[in-house]
Amino acid sequence: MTAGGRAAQATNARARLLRAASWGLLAGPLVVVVAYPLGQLLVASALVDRRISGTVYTRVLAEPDYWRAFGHSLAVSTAATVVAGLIGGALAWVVARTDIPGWVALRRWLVIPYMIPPFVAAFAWHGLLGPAGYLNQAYLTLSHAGPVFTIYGAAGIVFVLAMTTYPLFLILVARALDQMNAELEEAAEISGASPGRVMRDITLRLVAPAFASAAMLAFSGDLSNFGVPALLGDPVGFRVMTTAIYATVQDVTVPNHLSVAAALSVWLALAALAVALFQLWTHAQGRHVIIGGRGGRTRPVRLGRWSAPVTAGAWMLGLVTTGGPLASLAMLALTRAYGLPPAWGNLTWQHFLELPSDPLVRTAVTNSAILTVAAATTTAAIGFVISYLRVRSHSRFAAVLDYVSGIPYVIPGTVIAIAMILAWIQPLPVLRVSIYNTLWILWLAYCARYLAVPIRGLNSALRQYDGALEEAAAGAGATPLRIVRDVAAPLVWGSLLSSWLLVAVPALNELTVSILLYGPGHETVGVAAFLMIRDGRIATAAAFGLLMILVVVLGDAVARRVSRGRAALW
Amino acid sequence: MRRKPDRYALIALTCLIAVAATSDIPVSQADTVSGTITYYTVKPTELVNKVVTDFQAKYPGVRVEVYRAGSGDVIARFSAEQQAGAIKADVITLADRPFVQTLARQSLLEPVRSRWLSSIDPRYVYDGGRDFETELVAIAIGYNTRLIQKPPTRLKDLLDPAYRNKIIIPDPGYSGAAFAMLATLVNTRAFGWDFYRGLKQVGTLVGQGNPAAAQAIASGERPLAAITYGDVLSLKQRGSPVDIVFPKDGLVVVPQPTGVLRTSHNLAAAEAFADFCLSPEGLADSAAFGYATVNPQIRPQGLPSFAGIPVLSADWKTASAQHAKFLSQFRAIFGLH
Repeated sequence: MTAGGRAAQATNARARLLRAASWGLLAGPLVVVVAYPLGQLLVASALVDRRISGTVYTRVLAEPDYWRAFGHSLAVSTAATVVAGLIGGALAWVVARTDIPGWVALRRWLVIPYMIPPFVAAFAWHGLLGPAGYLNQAYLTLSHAGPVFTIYGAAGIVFVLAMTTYPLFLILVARALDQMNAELEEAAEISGASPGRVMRDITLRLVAPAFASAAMLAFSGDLSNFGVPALLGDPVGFRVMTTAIYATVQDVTVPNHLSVAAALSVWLALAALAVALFQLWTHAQGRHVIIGGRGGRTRPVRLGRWSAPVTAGAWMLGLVTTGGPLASLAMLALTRAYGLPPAWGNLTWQHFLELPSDPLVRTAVTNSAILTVAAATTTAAIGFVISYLRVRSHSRFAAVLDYVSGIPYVIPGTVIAIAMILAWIQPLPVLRVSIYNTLWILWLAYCARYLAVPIRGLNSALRQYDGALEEAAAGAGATPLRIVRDVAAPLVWGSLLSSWLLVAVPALNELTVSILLYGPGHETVGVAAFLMIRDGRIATAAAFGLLMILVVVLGDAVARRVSRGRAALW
Repeated sequence: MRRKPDRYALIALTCLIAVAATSDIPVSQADTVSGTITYYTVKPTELVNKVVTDFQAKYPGVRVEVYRAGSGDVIARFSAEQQAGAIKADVITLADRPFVQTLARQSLLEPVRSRWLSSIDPRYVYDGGRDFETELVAIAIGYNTRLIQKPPTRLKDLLDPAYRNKIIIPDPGYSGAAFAMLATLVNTRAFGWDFYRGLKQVGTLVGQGNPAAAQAIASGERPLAAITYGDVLSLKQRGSPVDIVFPKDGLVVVPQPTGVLRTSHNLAAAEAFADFCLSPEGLADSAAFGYATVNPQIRPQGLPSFAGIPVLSADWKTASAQHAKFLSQFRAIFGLH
């Protein structure tokens, strides 16, 4: 047999294996976690008495409360994105372009708020800026007028969302500025352009794509957020879509409440899909310019006499946005009994020491540990196979799998949770038990939510190698399994590990999906913290919240170490 | 006003008689029950945790999983499961007497077999012995001792403009106790819906549950509340600057019955748990939390007397039939949706 013939035979064998594997291994899980639940969502919202009907939608769309909630969602997300963009963009320019002293440390310090789960941040800011927060108390002792600032309602939600998302802009825009060729700016300056003109015509234009993708990420994150509006909006009756859906699920007095929730979910999903499509469209417009190829060290802008105020301002901002919530949580956690003034005699470690014996904490930590490991491992495994087929086989089927697995990533977690409830509340056909109210449904929902993460990472990692190594192994007679084990997997091992962590860390603190799917005894860490806050167990919640932040910071450090800096939470 | 006979004396007497008539009822032994049970409850988390921990220490083979929320949320979850034909709860405690009554009438509740039944005031055993109370829950005025020097002594005092923007009440749509207060006051000529309109006029905030409202008093966010007294007293014991007054113009009693579901897959463990809740040990946890209990021997420390305060009554038939209407009228007054 000729060498060419052997190679052809090997390729044939591989193709056959790929086809068989793709049908068996991939379509199944994707149907279970994505296609079937989302299908059930459409069915539940459009089926009345077993007939296709638009009555649920007409009922929902005729309700002014839901339109108000939708308007609130859009308004709050837009405002938070704008505020975060202004703060994050300005800070990015300062840390990446100017000669501000200590910019390396500043950059690290300023991104910490991104690692605080947003609802924990809302709770922490409430401790400072709530009607009886530390700042308002301090103000009240000075003057006996009412509180200066109340964090409840739209303004507070926008504030907290902006404070937790501005690092996104800082990270992405600063990275773009780092990679940008500063010679372009220099050339403009030499040609006599004013600094303002350089900024407007060169710098801003070149960072626009990075800015736009940060804005899209921030906007869709704000749109899907549940915890912040639940804690700061509900007390004053300010509803957004995610909290309206949650309330509908809870309210059995609404006729067909799950169908109504399904229709609202479809509505919210369409809004989120529109945002994602808009982003694809702007990309297709060729607005993203290749800005790589750095011409040496970018020349820092000398701040000169502005150095002192800018430095002070940037550090102060970092101190407020990072130090503020952390200090608030620490004060709440260390104060012996809620409501006592901050004084030495009132401090205690008791609330931290009580955490390990708290039944809710124990249950939640165990469940979250199980779910996190299960979800991260499953998504990494399925993701690897899909990504491998996608990159190596060029089959259309694999491309479809890739797209399908990306859908849950762009639609809000609330929608995924409703879809899971509708799909799995009925008992399973053969086993005759329902997975609703168990950890299994949470596991499925987490898998759906995070499946796109490893696929994205692995697609780009696998594209860096061509298939020659695998073909050589096949030519040498290696079995397909052996090829994957000994050749393909080791090549992308680092990416696999870092995408595992990129799923694990957010999964540990997940709230939006879990709050709708948890059952008694199946609380997760995010749910437990949320319930403590709602139940008014303030000190315990604060201590637990600090631990959650610590875990994220550690997880991020490990992810960086493992991937040698290529993967981090941001 | 003529003082009513001391309620505790009465209870003690009844109990003596009851104890004397005790027959030996077989109760599952600690080493024979095992497995997992699920407890749906509206009791404050810290109290539930304590009771569950103590129970599990006594019955090491049993694991109790707890779902705690306000009556509104617990009923929502329970009803959804009932509709799906898969009731997960084995034991349930709700501050919604009519709902529990319906469960009893549908024969969904197992008759309570506990050797401790005889030690408690028989007035707190309902529906032919299918459900019972453990704590005596009532509405008090809770206040922040640092911010309110002279607390109001009557519910009506809360309408004083001096308390503008200082009051919080739990949401009757979430809290069964708050709904009991609504049903009771609306049924009482001296209060009626005007009382709630008055509360709205002084800028009263509608919070979520009682524990959260108690925290709002402690922090000073809202230094005054009409609230279940145990939630406030438990904070006071830990050192928060809070206290309670039982309003002189009327005591709102909140029925909060507990029952064992007949659908339970682990009836032995569920009954053992109900038995423990009624036992002196279980009730001691309630008393330690700040609640008066159905066993007159087991009393909390530092509970102000509510003897002599007229007990207001609700028309539960109307209230439960018009549950949704009451809530929507309440929401309309407070501009909620």
